[in-house]
Amino acid sequence: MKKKALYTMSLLLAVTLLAAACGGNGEGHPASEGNGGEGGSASADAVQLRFWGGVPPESGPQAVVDTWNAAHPDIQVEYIRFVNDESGNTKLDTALLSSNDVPDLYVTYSDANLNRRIDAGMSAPLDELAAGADFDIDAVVGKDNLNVKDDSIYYLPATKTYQTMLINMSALEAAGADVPRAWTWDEFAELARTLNQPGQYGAYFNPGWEPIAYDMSITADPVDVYYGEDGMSTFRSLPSFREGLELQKALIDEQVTYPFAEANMNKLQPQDELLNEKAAMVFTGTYLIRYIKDEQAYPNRDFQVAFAPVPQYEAGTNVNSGGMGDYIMINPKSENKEAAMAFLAWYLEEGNMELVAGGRVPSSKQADMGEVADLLIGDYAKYIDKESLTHLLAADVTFKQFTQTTAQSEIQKAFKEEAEKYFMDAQSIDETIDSLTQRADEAIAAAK
Amino acid sequence: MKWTEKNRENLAGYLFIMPSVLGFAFFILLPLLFSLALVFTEWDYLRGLDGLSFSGLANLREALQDELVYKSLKNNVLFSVVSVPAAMLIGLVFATALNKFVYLKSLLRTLIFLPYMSSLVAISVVWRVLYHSSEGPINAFLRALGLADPPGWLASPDWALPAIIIMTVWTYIGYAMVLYLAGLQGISRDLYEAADIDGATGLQRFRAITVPLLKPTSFLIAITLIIASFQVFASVQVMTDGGPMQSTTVLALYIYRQAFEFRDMSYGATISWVLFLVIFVVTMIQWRTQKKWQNQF
Repeated sequence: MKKKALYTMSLLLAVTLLAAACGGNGEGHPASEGNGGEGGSASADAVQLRFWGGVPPESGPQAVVDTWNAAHPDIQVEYIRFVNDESGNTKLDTALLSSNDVPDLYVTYSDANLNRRIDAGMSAPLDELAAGADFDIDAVVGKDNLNVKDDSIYYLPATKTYQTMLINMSALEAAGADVPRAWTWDEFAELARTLNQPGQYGAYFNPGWEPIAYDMSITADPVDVYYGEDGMSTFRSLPSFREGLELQKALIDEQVTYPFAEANMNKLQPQDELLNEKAAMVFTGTYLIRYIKDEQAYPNRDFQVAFAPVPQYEAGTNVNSGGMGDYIMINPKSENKEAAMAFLAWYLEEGNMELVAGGRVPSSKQADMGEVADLLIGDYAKYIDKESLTHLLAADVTFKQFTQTTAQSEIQKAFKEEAEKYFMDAQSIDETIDSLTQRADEAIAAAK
Repeated sequence: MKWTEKNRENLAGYLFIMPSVLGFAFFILLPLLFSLALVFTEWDYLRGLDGLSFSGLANLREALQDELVYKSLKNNVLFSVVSVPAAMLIGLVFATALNKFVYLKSLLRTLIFLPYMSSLVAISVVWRVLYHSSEGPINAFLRALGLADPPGWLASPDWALPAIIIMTVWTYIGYAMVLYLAGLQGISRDLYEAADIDGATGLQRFRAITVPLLKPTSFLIAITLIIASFQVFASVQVMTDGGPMQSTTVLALYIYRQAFEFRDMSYGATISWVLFLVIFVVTMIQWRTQKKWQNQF
């Protein structure tokens, strides 16, 4: 009968769909053990590790993973790239929360995300694992460079970034000046004014970052610059915030640097400004080297780029607002933590040298900085002043540190927004410091 | 209960729509209800469902005191109130002109419709370059015309929102025009001929015949464009990211910022519901007045 056939068919359809749905769910659990069989080249019982990072595979990570996989048929690592922005990090968080195909190791880039993930229990304590893998954390990374929480280490940094003032050597020579080896913010402002000329600004600050007052304050107080001893904000108690804002405003008003709105709205990038000779000095980080080496994007250059250290609040110190980065963490849900640690140990000791050419300086204390400089420069010595680069990398330096990050995103946002109003003449410096203090204190209170 | 023919048929029917209903329930209804639940909780989402804690009306209270919510809402309203009528008016003019003139009709129609079809992000990037305050072509043109101090466009707190509105109108025109062109096909030629015999001028014919007979089309365009314009996000995020000095912040952008930059999912969800309420009220008003509009036919 027709109706009966219809009924049977619909029932069949429903059953098929249900089966498919259940299959989809059920598949996940055995997958974390069984994936090895599909690995192809690897042997059937090889351990499979998933390593999540934000660097595009072709910029080094794939080479690292390939080298490891060739030497270790029993532990095969797969590199999975996530885009290191807000939605990319949310994707990683979701993957860490799920229970199948979880990342075994992953890289965290910002201090705020680092503390957030450690607090949420998304990272395994590494002390015992490291001991089991015969990896001496202190000898390679240095315990001083790590924030320890509850007597445990939850992450290991793979790289260190130096903030640096990149200077156009031709402009410097034309002005009869030498590359600064140690200098203060006042001396920096002086040089910016000297280098300023029609068609080329003396200095450039990244409009997407906090104002330069942030870096200036770090050179005054390298540890937890946003937080005072009472846990509240420091915009009022640290005079360097006010002085830094006033310095940047003065340079804007004297047209030694870009009008703020223009730089901000056009999202001017340091590499474009420096390499197209629109600014003589740009404040940025060592990772910018990869653009200096890019002849296709920036052709017809006849000048070298020099590297000056971060100007200091008081002469005599060498604080750098860069610091350790690429925090690698092991997922507590990973079923192969030992294998992940073995890979991580190798990565920190030698594997990450593959990333140097792309501009990532290894965190390892044992790395030879002369060799690192050579790798950074590669075949492009005509664009890079090796002497100043080696000096920057080899100098004894104090890095900034954030042991607390309460409401840090909110504070950064407030800092940028209030500074913008000040730079665009919409409020005075006193109002700026007042509203900054108020907004930061409110955000800290709300987060606690 | 007896297994009647009717019950059986009903069951078959339900089984057939089940896949779609399940999909709707899991991917739309459930998240919708969850976002409503988030309004009354604080959620540390890294802890999964354990991170949920009841917070009563705290989020709503915060939203009602949040200056940026009001500022975003104000910008949203301004954005819709200007961009929708402007796009409809220009679209109507283009449609009437194209309906009359024969030469290059399809080429022009395609060109005007093209912006609506293109990726909004790509368009926004291009317009950002056009609007460049010192080196952009728009200001170069204005300077060539003798304007000594052209607007700063995206770099100026006063001009950034108008700049985005202008670009949005440009993308909406094609949409309004195509719908109006279709509407114009439905107007009988007889009416125009009769008006001709009575000695009506072109403008009179436009006002007395074209505009009133296009009312249902106008209604459709108005509703769809207002809803779309309240959800404006991509163009603002790409072109100004809410700046300079918060002058272009809109609700959708603020939701994104709270949820994914400050990772406050609960507060983001709260503002989403505020946005929903606004759109809901606007649409209800339009539906009510629609009856009046239709009575005229």
